[in-house]
Amino acid sequence: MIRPGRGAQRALAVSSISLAVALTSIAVGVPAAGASTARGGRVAAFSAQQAGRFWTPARMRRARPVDVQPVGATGLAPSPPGSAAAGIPHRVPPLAPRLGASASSAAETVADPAAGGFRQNGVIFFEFLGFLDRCSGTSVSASNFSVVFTAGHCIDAGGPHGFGYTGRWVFVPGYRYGQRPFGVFPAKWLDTTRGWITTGSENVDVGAAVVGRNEKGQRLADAVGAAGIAWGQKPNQVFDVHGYPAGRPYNGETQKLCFQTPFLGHDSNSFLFSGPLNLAVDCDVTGGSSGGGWTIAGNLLNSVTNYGYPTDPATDYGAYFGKEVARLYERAASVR
Amino acid sequence: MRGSTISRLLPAVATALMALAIPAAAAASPPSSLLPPQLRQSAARSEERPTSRPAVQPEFSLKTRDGYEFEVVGLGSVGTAFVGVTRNGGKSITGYAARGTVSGERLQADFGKFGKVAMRFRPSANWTGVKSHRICRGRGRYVSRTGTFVGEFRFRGEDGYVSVAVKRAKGRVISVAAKCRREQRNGRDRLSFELSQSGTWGLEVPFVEARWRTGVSATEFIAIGADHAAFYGGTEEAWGDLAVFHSAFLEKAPAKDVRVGNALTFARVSPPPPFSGTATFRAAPDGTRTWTGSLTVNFPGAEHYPLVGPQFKAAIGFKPELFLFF
Repeated sequence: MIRPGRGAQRALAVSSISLAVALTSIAVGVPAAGASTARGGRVAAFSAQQAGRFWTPARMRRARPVDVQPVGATGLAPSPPGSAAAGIPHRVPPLAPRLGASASSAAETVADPAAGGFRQNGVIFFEFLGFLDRCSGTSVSASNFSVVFTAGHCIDAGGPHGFGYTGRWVFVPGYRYGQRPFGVFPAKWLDTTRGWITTGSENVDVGAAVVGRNEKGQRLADAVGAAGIAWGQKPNQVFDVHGYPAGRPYNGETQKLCFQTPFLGHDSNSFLFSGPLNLAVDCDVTGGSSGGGWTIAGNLLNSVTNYGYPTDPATDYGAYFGKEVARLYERAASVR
Repeated sequence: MRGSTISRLLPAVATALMALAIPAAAAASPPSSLLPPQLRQSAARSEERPTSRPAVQPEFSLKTRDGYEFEVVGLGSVGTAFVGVTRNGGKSITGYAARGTVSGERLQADFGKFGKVAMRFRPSANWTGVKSHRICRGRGRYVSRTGTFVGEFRFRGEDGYVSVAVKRAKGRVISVAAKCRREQRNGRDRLSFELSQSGTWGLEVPFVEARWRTGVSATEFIAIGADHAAFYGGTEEAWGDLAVFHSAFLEKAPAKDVRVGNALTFARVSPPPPFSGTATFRAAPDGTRTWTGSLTVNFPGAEHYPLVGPQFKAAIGFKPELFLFF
């Protein structure tokens, strides 16, 4: 059985992409035009104006799910030194923007994705081999005010033979029906957990971006705020699962939320791969929700959507946030 | 230990089979038709993820007086330990997986209410095997050390269907260099490309499949008809920090045990033990599909496990043999 990611049959599509790349490499001997395969680190400069011109409403709607993957105004509590490296349980509190439900496992439509509490979530768009792809992501509190967390497979194909998805990579918070209420934030740095790149294990399928300013010159967290982040927590949490599912029956045009959905257990397949055992929750999101944030305790990011099974669309699987995610966060937060 | 049913079925060994035993040129045929789907997928994926470190696999096996066979295997690259249980060299196996400490010197994991393994490996003083494998040539790339595991292994299956407690067991530790796994992968890439170019997809054979998945539990049944019939039934579920897999595989059964109508609206299967009973698939003109009957399978610790019912989504059809990897 193939486990598709929450992005149009991820495993199948990634396989297709892999095959396409392999065939292209064999036949042509060079990467296809526009394909950027750099892995981890800074990406080619791409201004918000350029991004805004490229990612028109029509192109955003055309993008297909990737896959084969307060608080106070500026009040940020920095990580205690060494906490990430040690992987000890830690919580970074959320940030409120400077600009001025009941429990359910069914994904409900967020009435206004640009409203407070939801605007930190958005859609990720990127281009790979001429195809327009999409994922979901979350603005995360960091001292550079510019960190987005998503799934690793929304940034890199994963595994030692993978490649980066760095072409025209942007984050559009609060996206709704082609609208970009807070503008477009182009990536300037992309990376995933080391385990995702070295092994491709879905147990560590987590990625992060550092984005540049939007068309108005605003930093991401200034514009939309940011969720906090927590790692090293017990798996048995109750999550709010956010995302922009685009596979049927959804269309990716607005944000969905599975509110207060509890931890079900670990995927048994998770035992067969390296990294911490992953998490399952009841949430019927589909392709395009890959990378969508799972928050606990109100607004602390504690997982992201990774994959689901076609035979059980009601269950969503995400990576446990442990040491590797802590290290990824520290790397992203240190980018200036 | 070598060649046992458990060895063929456990993921650890599956990984070894995929990474070591299957020469690249043989990959056109199913890598090992005995591997259950969930483990085959893992094996294939593990094989695609070479790291710079050698893969280490400590393992030992035991037999109980009432005919059960245990095999305990550690996957060093993952940090998971497996306890596999089968009986009388049978066609079905129950496997228990838990995270633990797995190295060339140590195999330790807690299986909760079922028991635990906490063993240290003592290599044999007078013999250490260093092999040159057919796809893993070169001194020291494939090393199999025999010896004795010393410590504690105790395990008691559901409702006490099997129980064992030992302090010593003969076994071995296999170590495979990363380079060998990379070489294997490269071979597969070439093969995939050649097949995609040649358009040779193999003979189409009828299949019947039925499966359900809810949360962290799943069940699957697959039947293939050809000159001989083959059957697979498997389950997987996670119980807290423990995963439990059941698998039964039967090949070379009489062809008549799988009947698929040419119109693909009807199929009936009646596999021999460890399966029992029959199952019928029907597809109505309005698209309704039913999967009914009395089909069950006997797994160690889970007798008469049902393989029919409304929770199953069933399908029939014809697939090229090449793609019948489940």
